[in-house]
Formats: sequence, structure tokens, C-alpha cells
Amino acid sequence: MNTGVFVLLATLLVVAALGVVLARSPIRSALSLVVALFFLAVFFLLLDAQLIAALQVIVYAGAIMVLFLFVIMLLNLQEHPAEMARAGLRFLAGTLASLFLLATIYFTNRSGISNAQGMGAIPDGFDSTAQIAERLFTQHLFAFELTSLLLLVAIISAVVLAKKKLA
Amino acid sequence: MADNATILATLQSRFTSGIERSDIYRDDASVTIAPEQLLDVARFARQEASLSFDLLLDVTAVDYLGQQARFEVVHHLYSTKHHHRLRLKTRVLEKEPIVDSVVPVWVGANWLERETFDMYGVRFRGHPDLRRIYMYEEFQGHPLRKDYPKERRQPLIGPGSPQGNYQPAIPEIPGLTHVEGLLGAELMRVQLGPSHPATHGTVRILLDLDGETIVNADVQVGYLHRGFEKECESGFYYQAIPYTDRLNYSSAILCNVGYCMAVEKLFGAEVPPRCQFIRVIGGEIARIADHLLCVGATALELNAFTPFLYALQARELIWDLVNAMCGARVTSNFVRIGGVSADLPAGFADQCRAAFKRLLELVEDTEGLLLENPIFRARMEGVGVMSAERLIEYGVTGPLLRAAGVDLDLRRAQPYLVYDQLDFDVPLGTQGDNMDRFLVRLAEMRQSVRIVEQCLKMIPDGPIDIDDPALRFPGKGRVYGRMEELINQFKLVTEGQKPPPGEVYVGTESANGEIGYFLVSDGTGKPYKCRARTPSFSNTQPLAELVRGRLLADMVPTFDMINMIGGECDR
Amino acid sequence: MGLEILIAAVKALTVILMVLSLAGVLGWVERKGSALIQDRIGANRASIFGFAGAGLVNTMMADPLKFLTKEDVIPTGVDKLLHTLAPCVNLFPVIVAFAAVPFGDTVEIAGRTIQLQAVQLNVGVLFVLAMASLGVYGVVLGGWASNNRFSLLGGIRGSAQMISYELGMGLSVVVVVMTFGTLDLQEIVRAQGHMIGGILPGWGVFYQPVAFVLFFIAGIAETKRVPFDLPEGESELVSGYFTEYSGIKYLMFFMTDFAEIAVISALVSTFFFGGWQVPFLGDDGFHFGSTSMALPKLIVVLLQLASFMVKVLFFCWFQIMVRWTMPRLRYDQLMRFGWKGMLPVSLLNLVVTAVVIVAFQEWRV
Repeated sequence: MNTGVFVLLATLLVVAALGVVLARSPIRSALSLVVALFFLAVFFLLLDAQLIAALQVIVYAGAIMVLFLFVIMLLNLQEHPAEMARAGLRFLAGTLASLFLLATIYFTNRSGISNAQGMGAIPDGFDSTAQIAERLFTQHLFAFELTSLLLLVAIISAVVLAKKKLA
Repeated sequence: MADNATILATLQSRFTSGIERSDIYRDDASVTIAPEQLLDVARFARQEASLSFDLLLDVTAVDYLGQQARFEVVHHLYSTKHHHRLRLKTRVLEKEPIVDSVVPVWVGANWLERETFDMYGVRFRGHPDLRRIYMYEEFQGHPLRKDYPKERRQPLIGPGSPQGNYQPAIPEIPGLTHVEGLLGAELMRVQLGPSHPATHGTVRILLDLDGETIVNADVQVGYLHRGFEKECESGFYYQAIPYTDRLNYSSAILCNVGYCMAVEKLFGAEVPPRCQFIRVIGGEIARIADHLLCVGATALELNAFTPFLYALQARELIWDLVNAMCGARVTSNFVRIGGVSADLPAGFADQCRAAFKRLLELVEDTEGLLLENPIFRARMEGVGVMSAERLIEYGVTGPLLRAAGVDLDLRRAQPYLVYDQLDFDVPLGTQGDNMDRFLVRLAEMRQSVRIVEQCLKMIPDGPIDIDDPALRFPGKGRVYGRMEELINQFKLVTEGQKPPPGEVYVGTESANGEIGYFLVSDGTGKPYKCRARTPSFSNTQPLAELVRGRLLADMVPTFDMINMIGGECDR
Repeated sequence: MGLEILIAAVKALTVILMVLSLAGVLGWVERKGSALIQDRIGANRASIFGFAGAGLVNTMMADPLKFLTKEDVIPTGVDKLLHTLAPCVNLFPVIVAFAAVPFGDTVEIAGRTIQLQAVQLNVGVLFVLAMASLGVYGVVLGGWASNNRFSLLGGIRGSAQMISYELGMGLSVVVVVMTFGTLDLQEIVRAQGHMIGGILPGWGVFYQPVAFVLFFIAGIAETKRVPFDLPEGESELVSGYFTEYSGIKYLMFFMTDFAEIAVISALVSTFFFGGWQVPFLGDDGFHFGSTSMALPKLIVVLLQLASFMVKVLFFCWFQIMVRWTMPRLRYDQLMRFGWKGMLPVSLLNLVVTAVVIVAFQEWRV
């Protein structure tokens, strides 16, 4: 991958990600997240993973974030800078995020993905939809089914909650 | 149907002391009651089986300036069961103009009493929401009082606020029922109108939305208020006819007819048969125009643009007919006191038949695009439902009430002109939803076509005017030819027709329901009081209740089927 | 390398011009077509030296000029950045989506094989769906950034509607993908080149009629046109999400509307009507059973291009017809139709297709 392109995209991605955290208006924050996800999709494209890129845009940018925006607009959320978070909570969140970041860096280093040798050549048939599907339904079938079960539970609980509130 | 004497006798036997005066004048029964008895009499009139005055048509007041009991509050009642009428009058003092509100008896009194308060300053004890209705809150005085000069101008904006610097207050909905939406979300206050594509009559509808659901609603009328009554009272009787055109401007002739009939009733005169037929023909043609507009506009608001244009194309044919009759299209000013402005032109019958043939084709096209369309049906069926009892309580009349299955059409119930000689059906609905209202209007158009075709066959030859010099302006030929006629013409123009003192009420079936004129004559050439009871006003009142709890999109067809005509509602 | 970029640029430009000019033509078709339906004359006022061109001068020149010269009003109290961004965000995905649509087979010019497709993607179907799903942002942003409650309601309606109908759309596309076994749009079109039993073209619509109906309905819903024009809903919401727009920004929303019609028509043609395929036309000419008619390659390519355009224009016209015939749905009816009508049917269609494909492997195209 061209380093120049990478640096440019990475900068934009980081700026967008910062926008998520720093924007005061919830709408702007959500939109920054959309932009960040979009750049992430471009990264996937640059890594020759067209399928993942397309799915990234469809699922995250196209569906999930739209729901976020929908809820923000429906509930008419406004800027509430004063009551954003209490100091203690903010400290806790900051600490957790930092720990998570450190852990990521540590494990990435240890696994050796970061150095160029670790990447290796792109295997034949990489990102072919058929191959991904085959892996998903054989090797990772258990995880796949578990995820769908989890989603099902989430859907049922959402319905139950909504019914209760309406009744 | 109990006759007037029986009604008065029933009331007198029940209320021995409260009734100050009762009389029958020109077939109108009226009783004057003591203010403290008003609520009891109202309740009795409504509940007593032989009376059952379930429809409150109108509440207004007459200002007898200079008398101690200055204001006379007038209620007009109608019984949908017995089809008889009664006028209740209550005198209140100038110092303390307060009477009991009859809202507990008829909920439709709400707006009518607000209007009386707005116009005359009469207060109503126990009224749930006594705000001004036509004038704005900052308005000083009460415009229909006789001591309020017609010429007095007030800035249209609040006191002490020079033009352009007026900050309108955030409008409030009285009697909020909900303050919080689902999941504790804030309600969204939306102002539909006064300038909004769906409010094609300049009305403001305040809505509180929870998502898309309407939880609170308040309908605010009056943006088209032109002071109809004040204008009429300051001119001669014959000068008011063009103003009646502008009540319901989409069926002007029907408004003309009612007014002229009321003035003729003051005189105790009746127009010749040919004139009666012409009035029926004109009126029914106007009714078709009104229904076409209502039907087309409803389709338009549901974004079916094509049927709307078909309906308007059909209406164009109607305007051509009206044009042939009187030389004007919309505001026709066709009817005269004691006659009509012109006889039917030569070949009118053929022109009518040709126009109706094409019109019915266009109506079929309109129907074809809508009635079988599942989307249209889904938008109309089961929407805007209200029970017949509740509608009557609100004072709703016309197609709206007939769609709920109430057989109340004054052309049939209390036939006037030549309607008793004509063969026509009164289309009724069953559900009382918007679809029924739509179908009733479509069916009524066909009935109107039938009526006009019959009239064209039956119409006799003869004069089109009453030959009474006190009433009818003589024709040009007579004015130029004879001295007496010239003098008569001069007297009529400068002094107006002078009916004997008295008061009458005439209700006729206009396109949207009963349009009634209540005239009080003091013997001069100008009406002392000229009140128009307009159907749109009463019909618009239940809108808030009809849409509460429904989706925002349901507001639109419901409002359209009510067919609020701004000029008629706001007068 | 330079030539490659040039070819790519030419193709990209062609696509953009095609979408934009289609949008312009559709503006004319819509105005004159609605006039035809409604017994009117339609646009005929603007003319150059007395030449009105049956309304073309009006719609192609006068209308855009009018929009361009109008004041661009930005209401007070709005998020200016988002307000300006919204129409661009609205227009962008539509044009980009067109890039993946093949409008012809390969041509060979000077020994170089050129795909008549702006971008060749092996996941073209997903790319198109992704772009379609991005289209909602213009609506949402426009609604939010206008500081108007009607606009906001329009934006909310738009987001809910487009998510709901994306499901039906996606599922009906999945069925097509299963039938033809590829995610590449060009491959899908190629797979439709054969004849069923020698008489019926092997178009997707004959394999998947249900999916075609579902996709077309969902497509109209995605383009927010009658009967699904709730985000706009002018009798309720004035003009919905673009109430507060004027001038060129309004024109952009307007163009998006027409460009979306074109994209949906192109996709319907591609998925279900053989894209650029002409029945009985092979690489070298027509083949009717045993008889055949040889044609030069250039004619074949031109015929294929024309075939694609005719199909696209037909479906554009069809959508305009629908627009001028139907009333508008209500919000709850729209949701019910999407979730309780389209979704179960498309799921059922999916299951049936899967069973059939597994049971009759050889049936697979």
C-alpha cells in the first residue's frame, strides 16, 4: 500500500474519530462516526478486501448509524454540555480506554503482525465471497450461530421492552 | 314534528316563571327566558322527548344599544328527530353581560360562545375556554357592538409594539392532556398553518406530536375574518348579497339563495315559481362545484394529483354554466331579493346536458383512479370516525353528518323552494369515516345533476321576479318608461327595501350543511342584525377531537373532508 | 499507465454525464408525461426565438437557469456546514452507484479490451447496495440541518423508511445473486444471455418474478417517490426534508430524485431484464434457432447499448406513470407494508430459491 495514501487516510480517520468524541452536538458526533467508518472501509479497499469494505459501509454506515441518527432526532437530543458526565465517571472511562489502547499495542507487537514480514503474500482466492462463506459456515459455524442467537435475544428483549412501555 | 304552538306550550307548562315572552313570527317560534333559567331550559329542550332539540345551530347576540338589558343572547335549536326549530333569547344587562354557558348541554356551543364573547363581550359562566376566536388577543373592544364604529382601525399587532417589532408569543394549547411522549421524549409542537399546503383556507392548527402521533391539537380559525356581519349591518339589505357570495366562495349561489329567502321571509313574500326553479338550478350547480373541489382537493392532499385535475376540469364546466346564467364565474351575485338577476339564457338546457355528460365522465375518471385504489382506501377508511351523536352534539350538519348515517337534509326535512316537487335521494353513509364522507359527496353530485335535469324539464314559464315595488328593483325598461318606477327605483337604491320590524331565521341546505341567516329588522332599510350561521364553522370544531391520537398524516384527509371554507368559517 | 487513467477518466465522465443528462431528460419526461396523463399541455412557455422544443427549452434550460440564479437562502439558526453538505451528500451516492452498472459488453479498441462499465468490481452488487444505503444521509442531514420541524419530521421519516425498505431490497437482490451465482454485475448480465427453451430470453425476471416485484417496489421506496414519498409529503410536511432549501441546493435535491429513478431503472434492467442483452443476439449476430444473421461487432455493441438505454428509459417512464397515478401511503401503513408484507415474502422467496437450487443443482444458471 502506498505510504502517502495511508498517512493521508489515517490522518483523516483519526480526525473523524476525534470528532466523535469532541463534537458537542450529538448529531455531529454521530456523523463523524459515519465518516470514520467510511474511511475504515476505504482502508479495507486498499487491502484488497472489497467484500469487507462493502459490508462495512452497508451495515455500519448504511444501517446502524442511520438508526443512531433516527433515535437522536426522534428524541430531539440537544447539546447538554453541563450534564455530559460526572468527573468520576469520566476518569473511569478515560482509564479504561487508555488501558485498552495499551493492551492493543502490546498484543499487536507480540503477535508480530506489525512488522512487514508478518503480513506475507495475499493468498489465492482471498476475499472471494465464496471462500469467506465457506469458512463462515464450516470453520466458524459455532461462533456464527452463537452470534445470531445473541442477536435474536437482543431483538426479543427490544420487543418486550417496547411492548411494556407502550402498555 | 310538533308545531310551533305545541313547542311553546310544552316549554310554558314546564317553566311557568322563567319564560318572559314567547311568540311565533313568520313561522319562527321563539321564547325569551330569564338568564338564570337558560341552562335549565336548554337541558329540558334537549332531553324532553317531544322536543329533543339535539342540534345547537347557532349562538349569537343582538346589541340593543340604549336599553338597560342591552344584549340579547340568541340560541337557535334544531331537532334532528322531529325536524322543528326553536329560538331561545336571553336578555342580559349592559353592566354585567354574563349568561350561563350551554357547553354542558351541547359541546358545540364552545366556539359559538367564544365568538359571541369575542364579538359582543358577553361572558359565559362555566365555559371551559373563553378565549377570543376571530380577533387576536390584543384587540381592544368588541367589534359587533353597535357603539364600535365600523371605521375604527386597530393595528393588527399588539399594543405598544410598533410594526415589525412584534414577538409573537409561543402559541399555547389549552387543556393539555399529554405533556410527555413515549420514552419520556419531548413532544414536538408543530404549527400547521396559517400558511401550509394542507390548510387551504388559512387556519392554524397547533399540534403536539409524539413521533408522528397527535396527542394535543388546537384549531385556531379567524385568519379570514372580514366582519361580514358588521359590513351587512352598515349597508342596505340588497347590498349584502355580494358579501354572501364571499362566505362560501366555492358555492356562492347557495349562500345568495339563503340570504334572499331570509329577507323575503321578513317581508312575508314568496317568489314566483319560475324564479324558484332557477334558484334551485343555480344552487344545485353550485353544490356540484363545491363537492368537486372538496373531492379533488382531498385527492390532491393524498398526493393523487391527477384526479384533482380531473375534478377541476369538471368544475370548469360548472363555472361555464354559472357564467352563462349570470355573467360571473365564482362570486356570482346571482340572486336578488324577490327574484334573480337574470332569466336562464336561451339554449341553457342543452348546454347543461352537454356539460353534465362530460362532467359525469370526468367524475367517473376521478372515481376510477381513487375508489379501487388500495392505498386511497387505506388512507380514508376508518379515519376520522366520530359517532353520529357526537357529531350532532358538535352542531355538525351536511354531508359530514349524513356520512355518519343521519338522514338530515333540509331539502328533504324542511323542503323549501320547489324541492318537494323533485325526486332525489339523500345519500347516507354507514361508518362515518372519511371514505363515507367522500362517497356521500360523490353521490350528492349525481343527485344534484338529477335535480337540475328535472328542473330543466319542469320549469314553468312566467316572471322571474316578485312584482312588488317595495321589494324588487324594477327593470331598466320600466325605469326609463314610467315616472313612478323611476321614483321607486330611486327610493329603493337610496333607502333600501324596508321590511317590517321583526326577526326571522331561514336555514337552507348549502354544500357543507345548514347555512342559516338570522335577520333582525327595525323597520329601516338596513338590517339591524344580519347573522350568518355557517356550516364550516360548526363542522371545523370537532377537528381537534377527530385527529387526537391519530397520525399526523390522518389530519390531512380529515381536514379536507370537513371541507372548511375559510370565508364561510371566518365570515 | 497514463492511457489506463485516461480510459478510466473517460468512462467515469461518461457515467456522470449519462446520469446527469438522464436526470435532465427525466425532468422533461415527468413534466410532459404528467401533462399527458392529466389532459394538460405542460411546459411550453420558455422558448428561444420562438422555439419551445415541446417544452425542452423549458425543462432543460429555463428551469436549471432559474434555479441557478435564485437566491440561496440559509435559514437562521441552522448548522450551516451540514445544511450545505446535505444536498451534496444526497447526490453523491447516486452518481457513484451508477459507476458499477455495466451498460455494454466489452469492446476491443486498438487491441485493448475495454469494459463498458466505469468500475469493474467483483462485489458490484454489494457496492450498489452500499451506495443506496448511503443515500439516506442526505435526507437525514437536510431534515436535521434546516432548523424546521417539518423538515425534521421528513428526515425522521426518511431514515426509518429507507432502512425498512433496504431489507426487502437487499433480500431480493440476494435471490438474484443466488440464481446467477455471482456478485459481479457484469457477470450477472452475461449470465442472462441464453434463451430458455429457445424462445424466452434468460432474463432474471423469468427466474425470479417475485424478486423483481419486490425489488422494484423497494426501489421506488428508496427513491422516495409516490406512493412512498413520505419524507417529502408536501401536504403534511410542506416539502419535508428540503423545505428550507432554495436555488442550486434545491436543484441538487431535485436532480437526485431523477438520478435515483435512473439508477433504480438501470438496476432493474441489470438484475431482471438482461441489462444490455438483446434477445437472440449473440456476439456475432442474431440466432433464431437454426437460422442466424451475422452482424459486425460494432453494430452488436451499439444494439446492446441501445437495448440497455431502452430498458432504462422504459422503467423510468413506468415510475413516472406510477407517480401520477397513486396517492401517498401513511407512515404506519408504509412500515407495516415494509416489515409485515415485503420482508416475509422476500424471506420466503429466499428460502424457496435456496431449496430449489440445492435440490436441482443443474437448474442453476
